[in-house]
This record gives sequence, C-alpha cells and structure tokens, in this order.
Amino acid sequence: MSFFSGASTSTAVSAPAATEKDIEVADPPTDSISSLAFSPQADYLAVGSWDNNVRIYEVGASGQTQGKAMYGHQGPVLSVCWNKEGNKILSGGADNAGRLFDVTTGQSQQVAQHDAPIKSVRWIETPQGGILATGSWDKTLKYWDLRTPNPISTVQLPERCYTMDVQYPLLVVGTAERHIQIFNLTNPTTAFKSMVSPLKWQTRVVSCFPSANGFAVGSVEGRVAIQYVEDKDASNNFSFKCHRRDQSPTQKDQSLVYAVNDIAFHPVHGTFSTCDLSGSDGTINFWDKDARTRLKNRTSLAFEPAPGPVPATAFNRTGAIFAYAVSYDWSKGHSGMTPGHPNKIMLHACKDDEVKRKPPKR
Amino acid sequence: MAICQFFLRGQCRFGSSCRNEHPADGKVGGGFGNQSWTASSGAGSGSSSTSLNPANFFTQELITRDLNPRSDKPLWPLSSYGPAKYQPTLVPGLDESPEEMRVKAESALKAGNIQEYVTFEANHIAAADQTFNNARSNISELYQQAIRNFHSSPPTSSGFRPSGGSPLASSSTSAFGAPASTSVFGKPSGFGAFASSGPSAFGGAATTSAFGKSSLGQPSQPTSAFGTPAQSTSAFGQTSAFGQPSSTGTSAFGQPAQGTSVFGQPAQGQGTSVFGQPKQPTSAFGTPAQSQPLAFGQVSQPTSAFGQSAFGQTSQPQSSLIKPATGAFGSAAATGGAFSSLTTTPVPPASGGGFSAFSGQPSAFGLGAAANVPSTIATPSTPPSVFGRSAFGNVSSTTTPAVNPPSAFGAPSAFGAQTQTQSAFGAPSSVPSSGFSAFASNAPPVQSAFGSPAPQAPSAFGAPPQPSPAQSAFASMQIPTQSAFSQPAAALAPQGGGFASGSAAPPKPKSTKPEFYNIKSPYKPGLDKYDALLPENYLELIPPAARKAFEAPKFEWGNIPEWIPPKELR
Repeated sequence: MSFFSGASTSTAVSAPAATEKDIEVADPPTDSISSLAFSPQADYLAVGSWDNNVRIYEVGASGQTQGKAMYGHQGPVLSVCWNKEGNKILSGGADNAGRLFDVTTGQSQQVAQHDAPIKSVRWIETPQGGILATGSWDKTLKYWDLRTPNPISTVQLPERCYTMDVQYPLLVVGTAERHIQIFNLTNPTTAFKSMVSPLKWQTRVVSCFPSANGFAVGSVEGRVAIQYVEDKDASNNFSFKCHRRDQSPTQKDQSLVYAVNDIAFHPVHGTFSTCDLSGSDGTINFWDKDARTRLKNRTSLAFEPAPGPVPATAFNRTGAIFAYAVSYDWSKGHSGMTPGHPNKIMLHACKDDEVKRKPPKR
Repeated sequence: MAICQFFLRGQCRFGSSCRNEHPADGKVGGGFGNQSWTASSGAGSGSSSTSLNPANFFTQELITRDLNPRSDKPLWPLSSYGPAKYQPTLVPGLDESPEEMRVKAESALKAGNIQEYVTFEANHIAAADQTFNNARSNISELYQQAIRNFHSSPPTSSGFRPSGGSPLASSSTSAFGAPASTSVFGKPSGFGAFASSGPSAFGGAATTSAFGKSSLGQPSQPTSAFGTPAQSTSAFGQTSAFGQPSSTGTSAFGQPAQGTSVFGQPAQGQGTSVFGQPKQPTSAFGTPAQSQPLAFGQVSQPTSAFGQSAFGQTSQPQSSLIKPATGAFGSAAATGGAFSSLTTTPVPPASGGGFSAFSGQPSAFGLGAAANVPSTIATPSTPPSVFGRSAFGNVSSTTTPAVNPPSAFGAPSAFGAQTQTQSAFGAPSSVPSSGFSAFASNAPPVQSAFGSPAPQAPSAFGAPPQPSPAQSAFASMQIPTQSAFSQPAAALAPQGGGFASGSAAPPKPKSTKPEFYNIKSPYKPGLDKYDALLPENYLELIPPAARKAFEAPKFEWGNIPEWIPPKELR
C-alpha cells in the first residue's frame, strides 16, 4: 500500500496520440501482468500483476500515464475490477483472498475468502446494491456483500473457475473441463443454463456482450465462439479460428495453435478484440461479430506485433483507449520464463476504422 | 480435397466441375449404404448429411486431426478435449490453466524448491502428452466413446434437438436401436447414420421388415438401413424409425396403418410392403396415378406414404435414407406412371410420392436418395425418398418384396442392389441436385425434388424413355441428362409439372418406361396461379410449330417448345 506518486513523472513515452505508436505505461509492474481494468467513471487503469501488487494509473488525455496508487496481496494478483462508481477496486489473487481498495481513502481491506486462489472477480451492480462475485479454483462462485464478512451465497461450480464475466443481468462462468455456466442475476444462486463449451479445448476466457444477450468464449485452441444465451438466437452462434500460425514459412498448415488469452468488448460499438499469447510475438485482432469479419490486425498499421505474449486487454469506458499488457503468460511453462521478458502495458488510441463496424457493403 | 457437402445431399450444382470431392457412394460416409456398416474403422468420416447425426458434429478424421500436434492440437499441453461443440469432454482430467501452473511455480519458488515444481510440471506435461498419444493410436476407440457420449447426452440447448440414436453409435447398437431403441427415425439423426455395424436400420435384427412387413425381405438383415439394432421392428413399421414410435408394425412412414405400405397405399396387397410390391400396378409408390393416395403418385394425396408421415413427420435425417442410394425405388420399373401423376398438384407430401411414381423406375428414388431426396420430395424435410427408395428399390429388384429390404434405407441400395444397378437412387453422384425434380417440375416451390425441372436437370426421372430395366430409370438419368421428365418440363417452366405436359402417362406401372403419354393431365383451372396470366388467346398466340408440338402426343427430343404450354393442351 505504498503510494506511488513520487516515483515517476507522467508521460512514459512520447505523448502525442496522433502517432501510430502505442504508448507504454510508466512504471509497469515488475512481474507479469495478469489483468487490466479501466474505471467506469474516469480514465484510471488498475493493473494486477504476479508481483503481488495492484497498481492504479491515471491516464491523461494524450495518453500520458501517472502511477497513482498501489496496494498488495499476499500472493500474485489474478484479477481486478472496479465498482460502478469508480471509487473502489476489487481484486482477487492466489492468496485465496479478495481485497477491496478504496480510492478515496487509499486503504485496502480483505473482503472475500476462498479455499483456493481466486481467479476472477467481478462487480455486479444490482438494483439492490452492489455485490462482488468471485470465482475460484475451489470450484465455487461466491457472492459477497462488502459489509458482511460472509458471502451472501455460494454456488457450486462443476469445476475450477477459470474465467468469469458479468454484464448485468448476465453472468457467465467458464470452468475447467469445458463447462460453462450461465447465470441470470435475478436468480443468482442457480445456474440458468449449464452447457459444455462450444469449443473443443480448455476454456480460457469468457466475455459478455455489452448487450448482455450472449458471450464470447475463447479457448487454448486459437478459436473463439460467439454464443447467444437464448435458444431462439441459437442460429446466430458461430465460432471462428484465430491466432494460428504456420509452423514454418513453407508449410502453410496453420499448425501453431495459440491460446486466446483475453477478449474485450468495445463498450460502444460492440466489436471486440482478442489477444493471444505467442512464443515470439503476440497479436491482437479486432472483430465484428455481427458481420463476422475481422476489423484490424495488430500487425497492420498502428498495431505492430507485441514483443511478447499478451495476457490481458481492456477498453476504457468510452472505448477510445485500448490497453494491453505484454508479459509472459506461462504458456510455455516454467521454461519460458526467461529473465529478459518484457513486462509492460501499452495504450492504444483507437481509431474508428479499427473498432467500428464496417457498414455493410451494398 | 474436401468432400462436397452438397454432393452428399445430392445438391451439388457443379457436378463434375465441382472443386470438392464427390466420393462415389459407399466410400464416403463409410458406406452408409453398405450393409456392413461398420461404424468403426473410420466409418464416421464423411459425415452424413443428416442433422443430429454425430457425424455432423465430429468424425473420426476430425478427431484425428484435432489431436495431431502438427495440425489442430493447441500448443498448451494441459487441456481436456471434446470432439465437437457442446459435446462432453472426451479426454478429461487434463485441464490445468497456465495460471494454476504458475501459482504452483511461484509458491515453489518462495519455498525454495523450484526444482520440484519443474519436475512436477514436466511430469504433468508428459502425462498429458502420453494421454494424447494413446488417444491418437486408438482413434477409433476414442471415436466410439465419443459417439456413446453423443448419444447419452445428445446435444441440446443451443439449438440442438435431442438427438437420438445417432446411427453412428457403433458397435452393435445400431444407431437406430441404440440409446433409445426407439424408432430410428424418431431421433433425428437416426437415419443418418445407419450406423454401422449390425442391425440394419430397418429393424435389423428384427424380422419385421422395415416396411411394415418384412416383405422387404430380410428382416434380420443385420444392417438394414434403419438399423434398429435388434429391434425387431423394422424401422418403418416398428418403432417407427421415423419418429413414430408406433411399434405396431405400421410402416414407419408414419402411417400407423399397418399393412399399408408405407407409402400410403393401404396395403397394396402384400403385406404392405412399403414399397408397394413391385409389380403391382399400384405399387406402393405410385399406384399409377390413380387415386392412390399414396403420396407418390398422387400429388394431391396429402400423405403420400412417404411424404407424410414417415418422412414428413420425422423430418429426420431423411437423407440418410437416401444415402444408401441404393435405388430403393429405382428398381421397380413398373410404375412408371406413378410419377406422372405427380404433375401439378403441389406435392408437398407428394414429393415423396413423387418417388412413388417412379416406383416403377428403378431408381427414382434411388437418385433421390443420394442426395436430393431430402429436400425435394419430402419437403417436410424428410427425405421421403427414403422410403421411396426402399419401396422402389424392392420393386426393381425383381419385385420380390424380400428384396433387400434393408437396403432401402441404408443398405446400399437395398433395393437397388438387388436389381443390380443401383437404381436411380443409388446413383449418388448423379443425383446431386434434385434429380427428382424431374417430376416435380410443377410448381417450383414444390418440393422440388420433383418439382424443379428446371434447375436440376438431372431429374431422376428425367429419362422416361429409359427405364432401363435394371437400373433405375432414374438412375440412368445420371443427372446431367435432363431428367426425362424435365424435358417437357423444361419447356413448361413453371407450370404444369413436367409430366403434365402433354403426356398423360398411364399410371399403371409398366415395367418399362413410364408412359407419360396417357397420364391424365393434372391441369386444373385454378391450380396454377400463373395460368390466369396467360392471355386468353394464348393458344393462338404461340407459334404454330410450338403449338403443334404441344398437340403431339409427346415431345420430340430436342424439339421442346419453349413456350408455356397452353392450358388446353396440358
């Protein structure tokens, strides 16, 4: 919980947003980044990292960043999120604890407890007030009212929770062994629907549409599935391959299959980004799920490939800024953890043609 | 090359110039028509076109590819695997996320025994690799297991209908019989898969021939198309493969009326062989246009044996039946007329009937079976032809009911086989596009198989003149040839079902070519909405040559007028 303020000046890198280059955030964490979250009210970015800390940065208009605060867990932080008012940060980590950080007071406290590391935290803004949802590797999903030390309720999951996302009233949990559970938050304790993943391999990430009528599932096999909740929309379900590379320039077999690490939806346009890990470079793509097309490849124009895997991404509340982290995501196990690995967060100013849907050609 | 999916359904528009592979039937899908259906041994490949057939979701080839690190296997080694979307996990217990591994590493690091973690990780990865290696070497078993999983938890939600017996359930439980043992057809993918091995769809084990009577002959055929594993009831009658669990021998085709051949013909006399005794003039299928309600000939009949019930209802895989393509229908050369009656009258159910018409024609359905069947005839989504095939298939074969009964449905031309040629239906390749349309030519919207003379040239029936005894008349058409019927149809374009044009083929089943000449014209004044658009004096308007052609008893080859046939002359 030390304050960060004196440490750095703003402007990590040249500021002008007009440049094609992405801006690197100043004073990034010292170890891999696990998750990113923008505040829903202002341009603050919370970053959770494997160095046990959560850092909060303020992002300026032209992209300069300034570290504002930091607080720690007892173990690596696996997930961060903000509450709706943007004055509290929730985080969960491998110390089995969920912590709340109050931005105004600068104090943090533990508010949640599991039997195993908490993989995912999400804030739910219900009409009755705010609730924290935490998903953990102890195969439970717990709902917490921050005022009481005990969870409001606990939901048993079929397996360890690997990923979770909320877009009121939709909550989707992806667990190990390819289970997916869908909850309707008006009835949060029972799964509204429980299904097997539409993808063939381990689920890596789920992310809800801003319109809350469906979600995207990403897996380790370089594939993303778009899934609608209602059966009547089921005909719109589809999946597509992405993040694959050829083994060698001569063999066009697309056999290097990378995992999709994160999916982030643009809050306004409804398009979404996927990012993947990669041995040598990470790629980020933007897609339009309704037109079923790719909008932008990171390798073109402004988006040059990252020098490392991209484990996490986030859009800010307006969708104008896209943040992505570059750090080792353990995709190659321990052996991949080379000391010279970069750990940074990049900010990209989104141009319209990158993230906006293309109008249908007539 | 990729296998052309349209071709499998008989709807490939490119035909031989298609860029995808058109496997000769019997090769793709592991021989759906193959009596010996061995589900395993990679039979799964070449997914059949029926929906809800596990082959539609995953095939053995697909699984092989998925598990191959050189193609589709992900780089992350610690992951469980399921064969297709929504399918339960096939290779379970392996899931470890990168974060979990890393957390372990971090704690090991803190504890100072990082080496322990390293070995742990290596072991884990090695174990996973080992599992997948095993999987790769036992692909067929894995596939079987996947099928079993598929059946036990049929894909629901997200638009999946509960799939019942997917025929692919290999091993003994014939798809049809398996899981539910209820009508093969009851479950949507039931027919599609004619699952391998053993019990032929039609009640395989059971003696009752699918068609209600064992007449189809070999009740116990191990692999009757409908496979009901040992279910005695032939697919059709019993356990209503077609979704009608009616166990009463009623022909599968939905007509509980026993004895009545599936095709609606109330028992033509023989035990209702669905296929309408080949010889009979009114063979199940076509009963020469006479009133036979059987869908086949009588378009108007609401329920052509196939059209309605069996096929219509179950909306099953339909195509699956067709697959075997054995000219089930084709064989019966007898009823040429059956189809002729098809003309006009929207054939919704009739579409199935359409086939019946052909029942005389050996392959009428056979072709259809191959591909089109589903769409055209049955419209209701069932490939009425399926039955058509069988029914006809038998017919052709020597009209012995017993003729490979099973084949109709799945057996590679159960009927067709007998008769040897694979009846029109049997010829998968040829059929591609609605071969059947030949008959349908009427109203384009009509279920096209028969109806669309124009689009699909191949109409099975297209070659009226060639019934070619053994082969299914339709089969001979071999698609490209304009379906015999289409000939006139071509000229006719929208209206007047091809057959109608000028020829009123006698419904009576002749063993040779269908005689369309004497078919009663199906023209009715208000039937076709385009009729009213013709100018009043149209008869006078058309050039004399065309008019003459219309007035002739039949069209000359190559001399079909391109005018709409005048109402009077239809």
